[in-house]
Amino acid sequence: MFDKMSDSWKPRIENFKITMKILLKSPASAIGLIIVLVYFIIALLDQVDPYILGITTNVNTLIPNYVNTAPQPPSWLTNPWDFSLPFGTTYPGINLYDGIIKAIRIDIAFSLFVVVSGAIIGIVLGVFSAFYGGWFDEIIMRLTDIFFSIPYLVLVIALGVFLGRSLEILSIGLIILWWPIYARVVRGQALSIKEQTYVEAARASGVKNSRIIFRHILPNTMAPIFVQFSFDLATIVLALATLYFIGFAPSNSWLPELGFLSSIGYEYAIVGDWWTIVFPGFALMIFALGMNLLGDGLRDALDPRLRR
Amino acid sequence: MEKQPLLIVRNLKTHFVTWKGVVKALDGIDLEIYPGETLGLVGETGCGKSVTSYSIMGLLPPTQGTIVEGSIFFNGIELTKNVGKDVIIKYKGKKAKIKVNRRAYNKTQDFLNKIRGKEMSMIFQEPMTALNPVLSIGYQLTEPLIQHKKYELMMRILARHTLGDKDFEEIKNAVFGEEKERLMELSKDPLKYALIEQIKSIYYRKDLTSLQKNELLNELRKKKGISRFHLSVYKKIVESKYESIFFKIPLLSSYLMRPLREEANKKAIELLRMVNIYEPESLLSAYPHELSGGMRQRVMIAMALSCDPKLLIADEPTTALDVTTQAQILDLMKDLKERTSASILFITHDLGVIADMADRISVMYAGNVVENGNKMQIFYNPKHPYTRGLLRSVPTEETMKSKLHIIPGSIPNMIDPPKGCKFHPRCEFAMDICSRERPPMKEIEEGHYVACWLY
Amino acid sequence: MGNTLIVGRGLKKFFEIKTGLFSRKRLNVKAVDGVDITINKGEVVGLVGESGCGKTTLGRLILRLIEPTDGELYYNPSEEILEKIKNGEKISQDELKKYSIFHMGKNDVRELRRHMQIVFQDPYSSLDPRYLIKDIIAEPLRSFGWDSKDAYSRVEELLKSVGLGPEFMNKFPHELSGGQRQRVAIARALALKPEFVVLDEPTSALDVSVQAQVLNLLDDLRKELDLTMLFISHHILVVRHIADRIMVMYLGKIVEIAETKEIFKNPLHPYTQALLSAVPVPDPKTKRMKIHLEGEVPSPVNPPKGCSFHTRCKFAFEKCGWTANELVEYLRLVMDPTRNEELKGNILDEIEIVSDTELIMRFKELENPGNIRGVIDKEKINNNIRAFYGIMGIEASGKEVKIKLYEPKVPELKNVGNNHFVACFLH
Repeated sequence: MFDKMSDSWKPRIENFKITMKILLKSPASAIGLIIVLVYFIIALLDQVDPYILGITTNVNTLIPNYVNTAPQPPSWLTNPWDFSLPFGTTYPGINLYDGIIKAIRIDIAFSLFVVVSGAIIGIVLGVFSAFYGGWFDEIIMRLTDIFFSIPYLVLVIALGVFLGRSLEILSIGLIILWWPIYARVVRGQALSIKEQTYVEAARASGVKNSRIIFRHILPNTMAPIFVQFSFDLATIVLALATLYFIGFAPSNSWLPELGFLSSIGYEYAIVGDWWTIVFPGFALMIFALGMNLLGDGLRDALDPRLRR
Repeated sequence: MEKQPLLIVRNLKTHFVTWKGVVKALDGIDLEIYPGETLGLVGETGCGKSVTSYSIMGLLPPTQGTIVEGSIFFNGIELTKNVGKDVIIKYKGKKAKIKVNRRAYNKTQDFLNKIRGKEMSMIFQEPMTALNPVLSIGYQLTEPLIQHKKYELMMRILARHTLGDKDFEEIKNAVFGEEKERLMELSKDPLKYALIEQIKSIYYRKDLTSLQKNELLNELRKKKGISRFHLSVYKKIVESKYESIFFKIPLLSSYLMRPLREEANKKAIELLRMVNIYEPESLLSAYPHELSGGMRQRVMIAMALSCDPKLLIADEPTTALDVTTQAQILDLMKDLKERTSASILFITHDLGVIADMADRISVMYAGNVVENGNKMQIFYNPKHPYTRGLLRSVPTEETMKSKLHIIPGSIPNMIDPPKGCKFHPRCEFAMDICSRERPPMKEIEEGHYVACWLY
Repeated sequence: MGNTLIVGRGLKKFFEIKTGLFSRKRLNVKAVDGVDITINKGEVVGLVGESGCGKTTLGRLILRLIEPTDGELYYNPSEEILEKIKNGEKISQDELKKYSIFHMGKNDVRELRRHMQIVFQDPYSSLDPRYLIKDIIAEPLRSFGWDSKDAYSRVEELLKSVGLGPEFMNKFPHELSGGQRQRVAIARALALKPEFVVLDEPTSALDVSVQAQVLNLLDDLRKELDLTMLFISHHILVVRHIADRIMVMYLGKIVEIAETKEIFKNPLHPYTQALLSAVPVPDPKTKRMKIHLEGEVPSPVNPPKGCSFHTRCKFAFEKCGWTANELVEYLRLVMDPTRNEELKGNILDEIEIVSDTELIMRFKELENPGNIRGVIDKEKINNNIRAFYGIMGIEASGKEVKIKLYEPKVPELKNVGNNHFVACFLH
């Protein structure tokens, strides 16, 4: 008796292997994948048990030290074997290592939340608008046009002014702005998939519309979505950082966030304490770089023309 | 006198590098094409027919595959001098890596460009991919003429204006009397050849009465529309072959080019007439997407013929067309072969088409030529079990409402093909030796070769 | 119980195309333009025609995979309905809603999918690349409520019946060759044990040897399962091999129907004759009389009036439906005095099309109005300009010459005996 379950998974695993093989073939996307994995592992470890990463407190805020507010340089600058303060501190006495690790988790979580919700809304609306067409399609597409024409910083700041500057409001603002991208991408894909013979074959087999949409059209539109997804994860982190950097953060919040971390110490960076801005800035940049490299690699790996 | 083949392909091996391994698309094929004949190359998908044509033309995509062994001689010139130098495949067990030496590759392409499009040209299956969608048909037809055929265009003008009445009458009578030998003799003089060409294009027009043809001939002889300066310069250029200097002087060149452009237009119209397009003048300003499939294929053929090729490679030229259009195109090609005496390598999977078109046939299976003979031998005395199976699997009048013969199994994987004869796993006569050794080509009757251990 | 499985009357499908970015004018592509169809139980009907003639659209229309423009179509009609159709009686709205596939509700059509299935031409795009073979074949079963265990065991059975082993269950389509994919597509179509299958060019994308395998398979399955089939193909030799009866389609209309042997022995419609003569036969000794069709298939947006084939027909005569705009070019050519000396002194100014059946030639100078008729008749015979057959009368008055044409009529399918139907005025 053979195991039917494992049998039907074998070809899928085989497929995944080929994808990974193509992905890892190019050094750029391999580096991207490694960077992204490292960030996600850091975020995960911080979530599970921050002590593993050498962080002594598990509160979700930055801990200012008002005793010694001036930034201190990384400890290894004075004593090469001392890693007690690997990235130094920033104003007001915040341990940058602690802050960056926590910020990575918060940023990734925030970004995932925004992108996943935006993508779900966009995908559903996009695929329905492609499948049914007509006035529904027209409305959705004009809506996306409107959202594309609004500068996101302006809308989010406006929302913040009226509804209060909290992370929740911010995420809602960004979701509202982000779903149209997915709606557009999915609609474009779905329009061409819809014309494929296998969709017609499914209809001829008596398959209901809902199943055609969710089991035939949607899965086949996923490749460009994944690519868009990886780019957007980086973009949202950057957007959040930008907003916090320009002072969108609530005045008394000590939320660990990479943009915020760079912004609070930048006055000191101007006078020579470079680490206050370099370390959080690099953490941000490398994440964005890794995500984009991975996205480019995915685009190639999921391209059916390159898989033969 | 024994005729020399125009094209000789010897033990040609072309490999492609893919994810899964090396695809041995051609595994040592031999072909000969004699002047003036049509060689039909038949076989099923993936047997390497198209790869053969791309290999001969040197159009293989260099980052994917290349000729790794063997030689191609065209008209006595070796086309495969750089094999193993320009594109190199490094084998590592079953996997391989391909490397392009850009410099050597460009050199090869430069060398081939002198032959491609001039002595050898190709008709593709899907004309839409071979025609540029943003350029008009007229531009696409005349531009290569103006770029590469200045000499011939000047000859055409000179022939009209300088040849005497006696020559003219002689040529006219030869063309209208269809005296082939006489024409061959006259063609040796390039000036007379240029005139023959123009008179022929009038003679073969089907939409005119003989009276109207005569009128057009008279029109041809009216010496007008060109200055004496042009004529004398053209004569100098043609005689001394100093083309490059005259055409590089900025203002003079554009002045000299003007009549040539007009002449190229005339030649383009002649070409389009030749492929039975009735109002060619109006077609010149059209764009490829405005034409129907059959029309596009005609334009492709006109383009391929624009330089009087010695060899025409037609890669499934009618597969994308309807039967009635296909019949038109096939008749056109047969007609043109008579008129231009070009050799044709006709590649198709359709046995009906090949029976209609080819003089000799080579049957391909999995990267090898398995049988080779003239049309009658292949169709009425097929020897190779694959050829036999193929012929019997076509539905005919006798098979109506009964079972068709089938060849069991499917075509082999070209990355890891069967050892010995590649057909043996599907062959009903397979013997021990078939799985061990490759059968050699054996002549079983005059001009009929088979690669099979049965004989 | 009747012997008729499918009856269609006046089937029409027009596709709307927009003419420009801003223009409101819409044009109709008349893909299927008034087709009557009858398919009997257990028979294989071949539908042949060139690309763009509407054969694929007709196949999909019968399954209502696309929404029809007009017509009524019955699956397994009752004696009562058949009688009404035969006598040309009007069928009431209620009856239409209940029986006609074109008028039923969505759920009823879905129910009919159990009985009517389709196999598509391109086995590469008709299988969802993300599904395993077993799930592809099981899909129709699942959509009609089979549980997965039963469905998969049926899939195994089906794979066996199309000559594939159970090892194919857990493969993806891209791992299969073209022939194997087409077998999978056939297995999917047969999963629900349908009575009627539309085969839309099932072998056109396949090689000769694979085609033979698939044709044999279809033949076996047909006998085994007692299938009725509509076999659509442009490949006439294949259709001859498998079909009992052949319908020939040209520009959205059926032009000839007859039994296979009959149509090959005695093709009556000029288009059928040309089509058959153009088929390349794999036998170098057969020298066929080739009937050449001139020009291209006219656009289905604006098909010729009358018999739509008359523009390319070698035998077209008075009644075939010539219209004024088809004559204009020829008249311009012929009225040239340098071409025809009899017309010396006549200088043509313009030709005005008054209606489909009337046009006026205006001359700058008209010295020989009497010779016009003679010249037209001469050119008609000598240069075989068939359009001139459409001329009913020529009247000259002043410097105008009025030309009248016969009223265009569409030829109906007519029984010429032996169950041989042809839509041509010659018969």
